[in-house]
Amino acid sequence: MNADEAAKFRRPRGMSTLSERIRKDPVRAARIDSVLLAISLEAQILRIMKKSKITATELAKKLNVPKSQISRDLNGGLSKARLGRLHQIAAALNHDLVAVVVPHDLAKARRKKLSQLISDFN
Amino acid sequence: MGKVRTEHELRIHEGAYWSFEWYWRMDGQMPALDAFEMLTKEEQDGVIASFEHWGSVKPGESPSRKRVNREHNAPLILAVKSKKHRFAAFHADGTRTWIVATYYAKQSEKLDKRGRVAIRVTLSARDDFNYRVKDGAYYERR
Repeated sequence: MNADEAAKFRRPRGMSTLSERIRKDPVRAARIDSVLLAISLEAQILRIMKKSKITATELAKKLNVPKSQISRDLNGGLSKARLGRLHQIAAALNHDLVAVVVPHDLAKARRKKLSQLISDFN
Repeated sequence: MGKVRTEHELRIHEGAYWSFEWYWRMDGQMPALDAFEMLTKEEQDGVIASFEHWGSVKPGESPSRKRVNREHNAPLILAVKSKKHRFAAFHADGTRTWIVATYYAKQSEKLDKRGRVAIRVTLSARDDFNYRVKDGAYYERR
């Protein structure tokens, strides 16, 4: 039996994953979601920087902040950033920050479509 | 001495494209899970977020390099990152599952001694895993 076959065998017996068990605590689930949101933002910003051939140093210059600040932002710092700061970063890259609030129970297919739409933009 | 674990503790996360499990030694221990449990709740949540991110990345696409690092090429060893914490994993051949074998804390940008030791341990865990899966002795135990 390989890993995938074993997983299929365990699932009907109600064995949960570590991530599911941790997510039962709403405080921890919110913290994980906030990190995931930051990962998604980081990835989008890095993609735009790569596409526009803008280095971290150039972005720092445009924003008039030290390069270390940009490094912090792109290494997990965005999870604690204010909206204004995110807006400034987006503007410095000739982009707009668009806020989208979606319901928790948004169907998987629609959520996937939304992610696809976001990735099409950058 | 680490704890003896059961299959209830094996699975870490099941993503849309990739799943993750702890490496389960023959003596019943899961050394990377022992290390995970030593982290603070905040640190653990950062690591889980990295696993969830990686699990949702389509095959052929790369996860964020800030969250998943290539530690060794042939055989491929990747490490899930969250700040200084690294969990090194190998791919279970022919499946969508990655087996997380080792933990280490990175002290500098370059691969240091701890990192090299962790990769060696992960490679030997991979050999042991492949051997026992082929033998029908890895997932079949209770």
